[in-house]
Amino acid sequence: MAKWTESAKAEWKAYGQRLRKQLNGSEADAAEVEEDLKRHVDEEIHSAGLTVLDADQLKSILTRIGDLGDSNEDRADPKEVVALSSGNQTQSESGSKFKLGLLTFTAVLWPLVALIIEFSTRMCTAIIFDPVPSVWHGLVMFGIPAINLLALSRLNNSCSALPNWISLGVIFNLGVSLIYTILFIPLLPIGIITTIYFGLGLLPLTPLATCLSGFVIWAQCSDRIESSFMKRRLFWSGFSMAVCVLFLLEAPSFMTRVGLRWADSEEVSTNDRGIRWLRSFGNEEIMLKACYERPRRVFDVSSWFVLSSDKVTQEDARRIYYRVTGKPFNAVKPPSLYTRQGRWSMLDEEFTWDFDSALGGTAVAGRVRGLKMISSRMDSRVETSSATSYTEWTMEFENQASRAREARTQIQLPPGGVVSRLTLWVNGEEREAAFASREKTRKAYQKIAVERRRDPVLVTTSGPDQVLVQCFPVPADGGKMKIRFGITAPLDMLDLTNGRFRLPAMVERNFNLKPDLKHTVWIESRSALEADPTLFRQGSLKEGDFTLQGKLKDSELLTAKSTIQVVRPEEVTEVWTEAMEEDHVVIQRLIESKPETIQSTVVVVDGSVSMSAHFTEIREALSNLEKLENVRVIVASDLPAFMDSDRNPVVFNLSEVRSQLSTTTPIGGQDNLLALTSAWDVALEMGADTIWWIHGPQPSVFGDIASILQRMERSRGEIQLVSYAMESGPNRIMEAFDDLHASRAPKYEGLGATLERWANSPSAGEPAYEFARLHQRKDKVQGLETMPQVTRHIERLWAYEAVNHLRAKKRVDSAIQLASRHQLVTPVTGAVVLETIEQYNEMGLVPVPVETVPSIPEPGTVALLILGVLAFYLRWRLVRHRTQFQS
Amino acid sequence: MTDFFDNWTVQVRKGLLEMCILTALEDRERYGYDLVKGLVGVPGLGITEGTVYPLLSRLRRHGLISSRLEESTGGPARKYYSLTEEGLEVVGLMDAHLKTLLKGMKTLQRKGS
Repeated sequence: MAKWTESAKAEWKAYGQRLRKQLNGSEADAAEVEEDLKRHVDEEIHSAGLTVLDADQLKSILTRIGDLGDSNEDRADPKEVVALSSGNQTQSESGSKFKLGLLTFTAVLWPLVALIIEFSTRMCTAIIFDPVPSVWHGLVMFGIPAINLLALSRLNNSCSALPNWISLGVIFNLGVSLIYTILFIPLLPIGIITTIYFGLGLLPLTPLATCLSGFVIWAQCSDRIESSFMKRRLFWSGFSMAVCVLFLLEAPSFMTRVGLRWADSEEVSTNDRGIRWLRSFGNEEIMLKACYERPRRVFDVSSWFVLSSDKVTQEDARRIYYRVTGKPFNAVKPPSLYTRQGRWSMLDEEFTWDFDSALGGTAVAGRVRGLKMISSRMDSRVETSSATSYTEWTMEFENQASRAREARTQIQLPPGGVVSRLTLWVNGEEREAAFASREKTRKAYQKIAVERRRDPVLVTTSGPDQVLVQCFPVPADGGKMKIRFGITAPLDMLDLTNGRFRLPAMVERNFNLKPDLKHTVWIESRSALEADPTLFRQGSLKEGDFTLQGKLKDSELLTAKSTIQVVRPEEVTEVWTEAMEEDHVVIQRLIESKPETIQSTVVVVDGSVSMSAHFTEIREALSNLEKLENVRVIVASDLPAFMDSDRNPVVFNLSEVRSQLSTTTPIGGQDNLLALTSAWDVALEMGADTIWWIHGPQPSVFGDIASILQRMERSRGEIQLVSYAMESGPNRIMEAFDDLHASRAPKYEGLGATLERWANSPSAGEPAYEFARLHQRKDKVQGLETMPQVTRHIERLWAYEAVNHLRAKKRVDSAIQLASRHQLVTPVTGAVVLETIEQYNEMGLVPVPVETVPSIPEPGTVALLILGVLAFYLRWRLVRHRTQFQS
Repeated sequence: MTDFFDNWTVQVRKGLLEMCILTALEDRERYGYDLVKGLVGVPGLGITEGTVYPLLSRLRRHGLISSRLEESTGGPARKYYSLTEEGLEVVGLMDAHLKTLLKGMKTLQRKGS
């Protein structure tokens, strides 16, 4: 038997009264008729399979049973009765239809439309916060209109049963919409005002509307629930479920944001707790979002709760992201983050004119959407007699974003290389750079680019053998920008005949590469060139030049495989070139030297997660140092095995560290600065003059860098830091060591071979080869006529060395003058290309004359070639003339 | 015209309702719900379910039908209706009367044509 709800019983009672009144005076027994009708209703309930009958269902059944009609023979005209009856019924039906329509609108259509609008425009996400930050949130949200629709259809059909799970779903929806209503309370006044005045504020009112309609639907559902116990049980179950589900969905975000706050603390213990917490429970996507969020901006539900004035800044979040994941934040794809700027716009608008804090600055910063490199070409000329290479790298950028963008990239130069040319295409014409002090060029760039949005390009150094290239603006909506820079570099000589060199490569960039973009490389030389055949194809030119051609992926440029081997004439050890200064020349000698035997060294191994694939290689490579008397190794890691009780790094010997490394799994991004500082002290104690630092990317500097800078400056070059990067990427620590005793070990070969050559070659009596360059008056040099004259690249390399000497002696002004005169980018000078002569004049800069810039081949080389061809032609004419005369 | 016809059909239905109930019970007893659903389905009779129960009560009180309650295994207890001797006699008379009436009407139709 179906359970009659209280409201149904009341309705029946009222019906019985009306029935008895109607049958009063008729021949029918009113009580009997009521009893029969009750039985009839029970049959209807039974055939519909209802277990509970509420007032609405009863009304529906009674409406179908109809009026007692003409049972009373004395009543009024039947036609009138029919009309009256049908009128009441129509009125009742239209009332319930209106109620149903209103509920369908507020509980189904309104939330559904609001969700569709939010998903398609991300309006709320852009303006306030993301109400649907995950797929699971989306399922919960879309469940609201779906379950409400199902409940309403069941409630509307009196013959349909209403299972308890639908009632549970309704109260679950009610709970969810109630929580969102609370979150949206600050917006309710705005929603109401905009609805009244503009008719557009319905979206912020959606949770409230859904919540209120949810209450009405629940009231109807509860009417059909058999017992009040079941009602209470369903209500609290559904509501608790809503709270729990939302809590679970928000838990990763909430826990991550709490962890971020802890990790941002200045207290060491809280900071460590935060890092450990984030490594265990942190959500990587939320941490990545924090790297792009603006301070004091609410981005999702959980950030409402942890919002405060000391919110984690972008910079802090980026540092924490690296410490937790071991990856630079800009090495991964940016999150799908919507921003307030430009309303409903994606992250690419984050780095706009007003908000790109890195614009015109010295950091590459985050990857921006819309900006990409669309072509890359490298042309190199190896001059074997002078053992130098000159490489020109031409890059073209395209910007599909709606705003102009700045392209920024850090370029790793060939070892010992210096940027000696910079060109920008303006309206299809090449414009050469002005070389001046670093401050002056940067100021000119910021003034012309950042303030006036004209076309400049700037190159400055960014650590040893590294430069930062930046150009702005790459015009919006498909605009392009093309630049070129030239690098003069010496060959690395293995002996008098065999040399090698590397191509420049990007280590960090704020733009994407066009899909399948490869760097087109063309290398020329007078003598044979050798390289990995999987990357390069050998060839030759009619003039007798040898060539190497290749198309290299970006990642391949940084590998040891891309090293170029050069064979040069052994007998040529002295070369000269005319110097810029009148009556002066620069002489370069290739000298054989006997390096001192190495006794000891300190090695610092980065314990970050980026090194996990290299621990085996490092363990094996360290065995090449066994012949040294004293080797100490420090692993930069916050794992307990590598830190003592005072949180200082543990110093291992070779066997200890190899055993430790074999059982260690690297974790997160580690503080290498502390390990390097300790290594410096250890090196001083044991008298080692080289610290090897084997590491992955270093996108952040943790802690205080001053202590190691002090040690480096005070040691006056007694200790040299050599950095060997196992993985390419930014290195903020090396950037800070720009003009100190630090160098990058070129990746000509793997770590094992590099350490082997460094540690064991001197003790094996193997000589080293180096260049000595002198700037002298021409008339004081003897035997100049016996030396081959070469291009002016050796003068540039001499000037680069001289600049470094002047810097070391603190003669910065002289260093700037010398570097500017020789058109070099050094730690004290930069190169900037501006659009017009007026801009150069305004900034007090002078662009270099076109005829003085290096090229491939050099202007001097072109003249020499022309002279050679002319001599060859004259000789041919002479021989021919003699032959004709003799015949 | 339509109003007149509507009024006429109401009068005819009113006169025939009791006869229809008695005729439905002529061959076997039926429980209320089944009887009502059967009558509602008769074309042209145009009655609602609620109309039948007062008529059943009146017919019982006149002694033309009797009722009994029987428990049902699948649903609520059912009230079965059947004709009494008197009811059987009355329905016979009604039937004969109606046939005579219809016959007379047909005679009138033939004369007219």
